[in-house]
Amino acid sequence: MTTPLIRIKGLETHYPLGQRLFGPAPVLKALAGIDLDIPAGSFFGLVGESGSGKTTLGRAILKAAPITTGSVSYDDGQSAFDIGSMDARQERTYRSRAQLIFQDPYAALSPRMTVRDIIAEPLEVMGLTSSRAETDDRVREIAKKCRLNLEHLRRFPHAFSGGQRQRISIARALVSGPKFVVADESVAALDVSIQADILNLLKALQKDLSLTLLFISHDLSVVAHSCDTVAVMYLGRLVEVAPSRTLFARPRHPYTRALLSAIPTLDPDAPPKMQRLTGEIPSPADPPPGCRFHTRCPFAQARCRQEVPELAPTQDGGQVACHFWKDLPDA
Amino acid sequence: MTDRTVTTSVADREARRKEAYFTASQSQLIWARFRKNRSAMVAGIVLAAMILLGLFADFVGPYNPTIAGRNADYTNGAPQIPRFCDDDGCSLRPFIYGTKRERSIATNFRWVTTQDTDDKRYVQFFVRGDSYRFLGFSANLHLFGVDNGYIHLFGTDDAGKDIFSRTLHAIRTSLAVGTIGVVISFVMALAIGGVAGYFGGRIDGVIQMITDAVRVVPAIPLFMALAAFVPDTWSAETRFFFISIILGLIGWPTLARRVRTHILVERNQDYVLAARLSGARPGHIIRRHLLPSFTSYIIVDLVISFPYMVLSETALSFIGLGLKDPVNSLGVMLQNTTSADVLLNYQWYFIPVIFFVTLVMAFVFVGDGLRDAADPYASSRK
Amino acid sequence: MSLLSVQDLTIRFRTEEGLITAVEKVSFDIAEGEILGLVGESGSGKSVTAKSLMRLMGDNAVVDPASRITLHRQGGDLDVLGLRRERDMRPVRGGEISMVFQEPMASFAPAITVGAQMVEQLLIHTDLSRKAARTLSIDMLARVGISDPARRFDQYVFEFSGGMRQRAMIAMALSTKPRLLIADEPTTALDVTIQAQVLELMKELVAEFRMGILFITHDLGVIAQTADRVAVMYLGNLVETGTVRDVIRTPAHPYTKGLLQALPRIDDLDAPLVPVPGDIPGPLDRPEGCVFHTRCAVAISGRCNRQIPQDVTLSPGHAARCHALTKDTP
Repeated sequence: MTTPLIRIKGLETHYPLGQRLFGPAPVLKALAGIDLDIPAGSFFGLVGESGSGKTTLGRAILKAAPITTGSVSYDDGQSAFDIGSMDARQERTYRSRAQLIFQDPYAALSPRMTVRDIIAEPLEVMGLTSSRAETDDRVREIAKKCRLNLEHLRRFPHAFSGGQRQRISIARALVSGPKFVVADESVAALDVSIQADILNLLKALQKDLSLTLLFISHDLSVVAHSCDTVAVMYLGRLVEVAPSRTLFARPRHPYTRALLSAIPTLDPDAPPKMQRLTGEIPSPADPPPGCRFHTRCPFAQARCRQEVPELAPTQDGGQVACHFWKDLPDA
Repeated sequence: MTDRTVTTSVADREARRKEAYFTASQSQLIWARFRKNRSAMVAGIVLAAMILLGLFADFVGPYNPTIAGRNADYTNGAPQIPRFCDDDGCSLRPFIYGTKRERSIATNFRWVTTQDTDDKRYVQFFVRGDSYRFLGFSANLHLFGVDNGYIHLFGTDDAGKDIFSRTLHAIRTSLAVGTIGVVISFVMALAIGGVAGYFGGRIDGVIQMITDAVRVVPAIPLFMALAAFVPDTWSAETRFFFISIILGLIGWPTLARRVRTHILVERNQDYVLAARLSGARPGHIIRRHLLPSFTSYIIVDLVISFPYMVLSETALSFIGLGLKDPVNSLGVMLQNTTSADVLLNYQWYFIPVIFFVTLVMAFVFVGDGLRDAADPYASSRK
Repeated sequence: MSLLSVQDLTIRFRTEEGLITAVEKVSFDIAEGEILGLVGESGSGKSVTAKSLMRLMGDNAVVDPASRITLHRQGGDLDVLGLRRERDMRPVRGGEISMVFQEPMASFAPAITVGAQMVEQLLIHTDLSRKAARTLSIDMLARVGISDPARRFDQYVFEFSGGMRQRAMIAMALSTKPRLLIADEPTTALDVTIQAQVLELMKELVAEFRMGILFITHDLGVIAQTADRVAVMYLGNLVETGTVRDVIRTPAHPYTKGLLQALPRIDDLDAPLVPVPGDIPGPLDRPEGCVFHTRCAVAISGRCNRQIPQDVTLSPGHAARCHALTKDTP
C-alpha cells in the first residue's frame, strides 16, 4: 500500500474571536478535527457550503492557515515534512512542492507585472534557476503546457479574459514543478463554457505532470465529473468521504443526500427530490453540540444531539460520520 | 489593389493599437488616461509654466526683489503696461512712459508721480541688469527691461520694490518650502505608515497612537512658540529651512495614515499571498508588490498635499510667524496688504493673490486628474 | 394573457471607446403566471435587458427608437420606453414591476431596518397607511418563510443570514403585488441547499399571486427546474427561445448546444465536458453578421460572417436564429 501524499490527523484550526476580560476568549473552530488521507496522483474533491471550512483545510495543508492542534504531513517518496513543525528551510523546500491556484482570476495576478514575470516569480523567489535564459525556457515550457499563446507573455494581465487569466494562474502554480496543487474554487468565477475548458486542462496537466490535485468547490456537479474521490464537509468536520462514483450513486450521509438532491438537474421532468433541508446553516462560531448537522437532519435522534459521530468505513470503500447511517432508507 | 492595402493598413493600425494597449504597463495606462482629461492637462501645463517661472525667477524678473533692486523714485507706483500705440503713432517695439516725481505747492507739498508722455522708454529683450546667482554661476541677463529707467509690470510697493520680480521669487520660495516640507513628510510617512501597515497588530496600534498625537498638535500656537524661540541672529535662509522642516514634521500624519491604509489593503491581495506561498521574503514582497502597488496613489497624495503646505506657509507668513523679509514668499507679500491705504489706493498689491490662487488650483486639478486616472484601474472588470 | 411584450429592443452605451452595443434586437413575451428564464454568460446583455424594463439603464444608454417595451394592463397598455418623467416611471419601479437582485446585502440599506425599507416601498406605491403597511410587511415576511417575522421586521440586514436576506428581498419585492417580478441572478450567491429552498418559494409564490417572473441566470440547471420557457442570450442577441423542454432536450442553436455540452451533468458522470471553443469577444470586438460565428463549429463562411440570421421556427414556440437551420429545415 503506497503512503498517501498528504496525511491529516485530528487537525483543528481555531481563529480567535475578540477578547474577554474574564474567562477564555471565544474561538471560531474553522476546522474541528479532520482525519483525511489524500493518495498520491488523485484528483481529490473537497465540497461544502459556506462555513464548511473547505478553504481553511486547503490553506492549512499549505501552511497558509494556522494549525492549532493535530498533524498534517506530506510524503512524496523523496521528501517528507510534518507541516505543523517545519523549520524555515524545510518550509522553503515544501513551497516548491505544494502550490495554490486561486479562485478570483482578477485578483490573483499582479496588474503591474507582465505575464512572463508573473509566471517566473516562483522560480526567482525559490532560486530554482541559475540564469535568465533558463527561467525564460521554463516559463515558456509551462505556458505551452497551459495552452497560453507565447506571444502573450509580454502582455499585462489587463489584456486577458477570466479564462486566460486562470490559465496564467495555473502556469504560475505549476512552474516550480510541484507535486501537490490545491485548486481553491478555481472555476467558480468563470463562465460555464470556459469552466469546462479549465477543468479539461487541469485533468490533462494532472496526467502530464503526475500531480495530486485537491479540488475545492461548492459545485457538486463539477466535482462529480472531474474528481476520483470526494470528501464532503459540513461546519468544520468531514461527513463523508468516498470514491466519486460511489458517492453519487449511493450517498450515505443525510447531508450528502440533501446536497445532491438540491442540485438542479438539467432534466426538466426529473421527479422532485425528497430531501429538502429546512433551516439555515448555523454559524461556525456557534456550532450545534454533538453532530453538527443534527439541527437540520431529518433523521436526527437524541444521540445525535449529544455525541459527535466519527468517520467509520462503509463496505464500498468510503467513510461516513453518522450514528445511524446503516439504518437510513436507501436514497 | 489600393483598396486592400488601405484596409490592411487600417487593420494593422488597429492591431498595433490593441497590442500597445495589451503591453502597456500600469504607469503608461495612467498617463494615457490622464491625457484624456482636458482640465487636468490644462492645469498641468499651467503648473509647469509656474514652476518654470519660479525656477527662472531671476531671469524673467527684471530686477532684484530685495531692497537692493528698488526704484526709490517710484514708490507705490501703479503698474506700467507696455503699449504699442499712442497719440503719436504706433511702433513695433512696445514702450512705456517715464515718470516724474515732483513736489510743489500745486500738490500741497506731497510727492506726486506723473506720467510723462514725451518720455518714451522702449522695452528691450535680453538685457543686462542686476546680477544674480544661478546654479553657482554669476549672471546678469534678464528677459526684458527698458532702455532707460525702470519698468514695473505689476507696480511697486511702498519701498519701490518691483512687485513683478517679487511675485516670481515668491512663487519660487513657496514652491521650495512646499517641496522641502512634502519631501520630509513623505519620507517619514512612508517609513512610519509602512511599518504600521506591514506588521499590523500591536506595532500598528502603538504607531497609530503616536500618529494621532502628532496630528492633534495645533499649528498656530506651535509656530507662535517657535517664533519666540527662534533667535534673531538666524539669517533669513536659516529661518526658511527651519520653517520648511517644521511644516514637514507636523505634516506627516495624514500621509502616513494613507500609506498604512494602502499597505493594509494590498497586503491581503491574492497575488501577494501567491508570492508568500512561493516562499518570498518580506523584502521581496515589499519591493516587488507593495511599493509599486501604491506608487501611483502616493504620487497623487503628494501632489494634493503640496497646496496644503503652500497654504500653511502662506498663512503663517501672513500673520508674521513664518518667513520674513527679505526672504520673499506669497505670504510675506500679503503681509503688506492689510492697511486701508492699500485697499483703497494701491490695489495692485493684490496681484500676487491671483498667482497664488492659480498655483493652488493647478495643483488641485492635476492631483484630481491623477487620482481619477489612477483609480479606475482597480475596478475595471469584465 | 400576455403581461409584457418586448420588441426589437436595442440598447447601446456611449463610452470613451465609442458606442458599444449591449443588446441587439431582442424580442420576447412574458405571460401571466409564466416563468421565463433569460440565460446567458458574461457580456450577454441579460442584466441590461432586465434593467431596461424598469428604465434603470443609466445616463449613457442609447435606446434605439425602434425598440418597444409594452406592459399590458387592464386600464390600457403602458409604453415603458416612452415614459419621460420620473414620476411616470414609478409603476414600473416597484409598482407593477418589481426586482430582486443578486446581492441582497448590497440592495438593502445597511443603516435602516429591513422593516422600515419595506414600509417605505409600500408607502410609495400604494395608499396604505403606515400601520397597514407594517402589518402587510410582517405578513409577507412570514409568507416567505422567515420565522419570528415581527422581531425580524425591526432588525438590520446584517443580522440576517444569506438565505434570509434573499427571502426578505423577495418579500419586499412582492409586497406591492407586482404583476411581473424580475429576478436578476437571485440565487447565484446562495449555497445550493438554500438555493433549493428559495427556488421552491418562488414557484409557490408564482402560483399563488399569478404573476410572471423574468428569471435571469447563467445556470441552466436552475432554469430547467424552475422556468417554463427559456430565452438564451449571447453577446446581446437572443439566439434561441422555447419551452424549457424543447430547448434543453432538443437545442437548435450551436451556442445552446455548446453550453449544454460544456455543463457537467449529475445524471451522466461519464460524459466528457466539451467546452465552447474560443473566448467571448470583448464588447469592442463585436463580430459582424451572426455574433456567434467566431466560435461556431458549423459556421458557413461567407454567410454567417456577413448576414445577421433571422428567426427560424422549429416547432410552435421554439425558435432559433441560425443560418445553418434554414438549410436543414425542409
